[in-house]
This record gives sequence, C-alpha cells and structure tokens, in this order.
Amino acid sequence: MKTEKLNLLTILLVCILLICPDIHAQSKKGQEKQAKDAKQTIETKDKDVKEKGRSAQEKVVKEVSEAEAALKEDTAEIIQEVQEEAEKLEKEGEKLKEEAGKGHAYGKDKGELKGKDFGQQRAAEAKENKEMKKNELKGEINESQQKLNDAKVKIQTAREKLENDKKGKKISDAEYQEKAQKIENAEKQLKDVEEKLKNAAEEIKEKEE
Amino acid sequence: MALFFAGCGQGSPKQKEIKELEKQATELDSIAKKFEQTKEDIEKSIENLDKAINEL
Repeated sequence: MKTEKLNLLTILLVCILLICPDIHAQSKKGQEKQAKDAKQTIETKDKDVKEKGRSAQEKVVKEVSEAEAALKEDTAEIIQEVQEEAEKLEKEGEKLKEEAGKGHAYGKDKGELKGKDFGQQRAAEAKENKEMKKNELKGEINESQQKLNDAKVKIQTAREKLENDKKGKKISDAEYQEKAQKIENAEKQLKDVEEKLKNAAEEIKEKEE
Repeated sequence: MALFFAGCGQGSPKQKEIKELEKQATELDSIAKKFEQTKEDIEKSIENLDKAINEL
C-alpha cells in the first residue's frame, strides 16, 4: 500500500515536471503576445496622435492664411476709401479756395471777368442758386404736406382703435395710457411739422416780394 | 486839377455799382442758405413724425 502511494506520488511528480515547461512556455508566449499587442496599440495611438496633430496644424495654417487674406482685403478697402475721401476733400478745398479768391476782390482780376462783369455774373449766379433752393424748399413743402396728411389719417385711425379697444375692454388701463401717450406725441410732432410748413411758405412769399 | 477830379469821379460810380452787385449776391446767398436750412429743418421734423407714427 505504501509502495503504491509512493509510486503514485512519483508519477504525479513526473507529470508535473513534464507539464511545467509547457505551462511556462505557454505563459511566455502569452506575455509575448500581450507585449506585441501593447506595442501595436501604442503604435496605432501614436499614429493617431500624429495624424491629429498634423490635421490640427493644417487647420491652423489654413485659418491663419484665410485671416491674413481677409485682413489684406479689408486693409485694401480701407486704404481705397481713405484715398477717395482725401481726393474728395482736396477737390472741395480747391473749390472753396477758388470761390474765396473770387468773393470779395472788387476791381481785381477774377479769372476771365473783371470788375462790373464779374459782379454781374456773381449776382446772376447767386440769384440762380436762390431760385434753385427756393424750388427745392417748395418741393419739400409739397412732399411734406402729403406725409402730413397721411400722418393725420394714421393718428385718427390709431385714436379710434384705442377708444374702441378701451370700450371693448380689450386693453388694460396701463396699455391705454401708454398708447394714448404715443398718440399725443405723434400729434405734437404733426403740429410741429404743420407750423414749420406754414412758416416756410410764408418765408418764400416774403422773399419773393 | 479838374482832370484829376474828373478821373476820380469816373471810377467811383462803377465801384459803387460793383459793390451793390456784390451786396445783392450776398443777400441772395443768405436767402438761399435760409431756404436750405428751412428745408433741412422740415426734413428733420418729418423724420421725428415718421418715428412717432411708427410707434403707434
């Protein structure tokens, strides 16, 4: 019996000794595979990171170029505007200088005309200009009169609607007050325009006399 | 001497006429300016009226 147990133990020991290298080998293989996988994962991630970095860099470069182009365009526009404005001002300055030179130079040489001829031309031009401004004012009066009439109708309509809304209790007291205030303001502006148109018409009449 | 005064006298009415023309021109300019100011004033009032009407 004892010998049998001893034999069994010996066989078991032999088996263990035989299996261990295999297990060890398998474990080593597994570790190698794991290391390989890990290496591959690291490489993939590294590649991804590099790819992302490159695309981000490209994006930044693209954005910077676009911003530069836009800035260039804006700057060119501003320069052009400033140049145009400067040219305009220069022309106006020259014109004013020319007019100032002509203005009160009695008896002096004023371009092609002298003395009385110049005075007559100057007066004729002033008269022409006055007529032009008068006609412009008349036009403005007529146009404004039309707007005034339209405004009167709108104010009347708004007032009627407000009163109806109040009667029908469609609006609160506060709303009524607010709208009534706006109507009063519009009426005030209307009277102001009316007064100005009346004065302007009188002014024209007065200056024509 | 007489010639001297005659010479001075000849220039004077012409100068007066020129000054008169200039005066006329200045007055006309002033009226034109007043018309323009009145027009601008009306335009501004119309603008205010438009705003008030739009608020209704």
